Amino acid sequence: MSLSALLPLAVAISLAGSPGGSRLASGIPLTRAPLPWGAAVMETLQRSVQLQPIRVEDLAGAASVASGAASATAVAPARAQLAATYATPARATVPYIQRDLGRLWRLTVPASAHGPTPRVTATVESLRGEPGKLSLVGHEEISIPVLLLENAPVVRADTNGTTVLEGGFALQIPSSALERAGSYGGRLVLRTEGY
Amino acid sequence: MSTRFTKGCGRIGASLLLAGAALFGSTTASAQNAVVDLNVTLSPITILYYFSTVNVNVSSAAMAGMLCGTGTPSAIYNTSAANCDVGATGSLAATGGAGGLTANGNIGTSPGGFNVAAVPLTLQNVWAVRAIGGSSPNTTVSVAIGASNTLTLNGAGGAQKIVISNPTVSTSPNTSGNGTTAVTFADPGLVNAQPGNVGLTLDLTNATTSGVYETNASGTGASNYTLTVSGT
Repeated sequence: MSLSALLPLAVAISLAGSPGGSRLASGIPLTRAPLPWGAAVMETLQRSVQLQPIRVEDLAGAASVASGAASATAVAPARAQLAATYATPARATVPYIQRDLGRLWRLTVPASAHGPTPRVTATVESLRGEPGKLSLVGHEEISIPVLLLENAPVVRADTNGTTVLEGGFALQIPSSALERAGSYGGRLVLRTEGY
Repeated sequence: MSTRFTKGCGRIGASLLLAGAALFGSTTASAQNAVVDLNVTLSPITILYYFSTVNVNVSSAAMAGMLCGTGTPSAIYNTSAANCDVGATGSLAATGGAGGLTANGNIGTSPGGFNVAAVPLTLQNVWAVRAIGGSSPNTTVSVAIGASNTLTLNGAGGAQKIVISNPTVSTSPNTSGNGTTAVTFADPGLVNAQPGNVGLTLDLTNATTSGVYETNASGTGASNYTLTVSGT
């Protein structure tokens, strides 16, 4: 469990306000054992995600794209000159680049938990805190919009009766927003809901 | 007045009750947040689009226009584009004889300003570039004659041929190097591609028969010009 996951975890447990809350003084749970007071626990499976770089192959398949044969009828725009005009060979690029972030979170729900099924939601923030964007590192005033897609979580039951959910997200970046090469950064803020 | 006051108190009471339930009424409700850092690199990208085969149909009207320019056809010559109005001849001195009068206009047999050995041909929009980043904010496209500079009638390799020379590239609007073998322009980005042209000089001296002139009989094979993109 990463440090970034431990800190919010401590806050979450102290907010639970359950009768068994006094036992929190013993510290933050270090294992994924069922928590006796019935609270689900989220942990992050990755502290930092370095996505595969966006390359020309993502947009056009190759650096040079042949468009086959083209035909046109020449005209004489002026004396002793010929010119033929063709439709542009440029093809549309893919509308967006998608990167899978892999499994990012694990939610451990004790058998004693009841109520709505818990879920984890996420938002992306740029380095300047702008929602739904990533910032160009070194020029944080420049950002690109991103769309976060939720992957269906994998659910399994532990032998001790707890339910473990693991999930992740995919990131979509519109090609039209790619105007500056460089390194883009931001934060993925995970939140639990529904328990 | 008193009625309204009573209702107002009722709303306040209800709000407090709901807040109390949120804070103390549940033993499991809570929220947990976690943060994961995200990083992705957008590499410098340059994409060159081009036609692998370019066919040009030079019609008789285009040939006539090339020979005659865009002068207005006169009523005397009808309005066919194949006719060539070379302007007024000035006064002709007629001579008389037994058969009548004769006036010689002395029309030229070679059109002015036209060199059959060097006919410029511009192929417009035969390449396009999308580009961002790289060692400079600019992109350069250059052109050179390919493996074959000769097109023969039906690709048969006979005496009837067109020889290609002096390749150039250009863009619109005009940028550095227009009309030379290399043109440089600002990276256009990835949305709107920068279109470009190729200029060739055709030697039509030995193309006296109409037909298809190509590199070989299959119409494929050795290239006639090569484009190169750099600056990424």
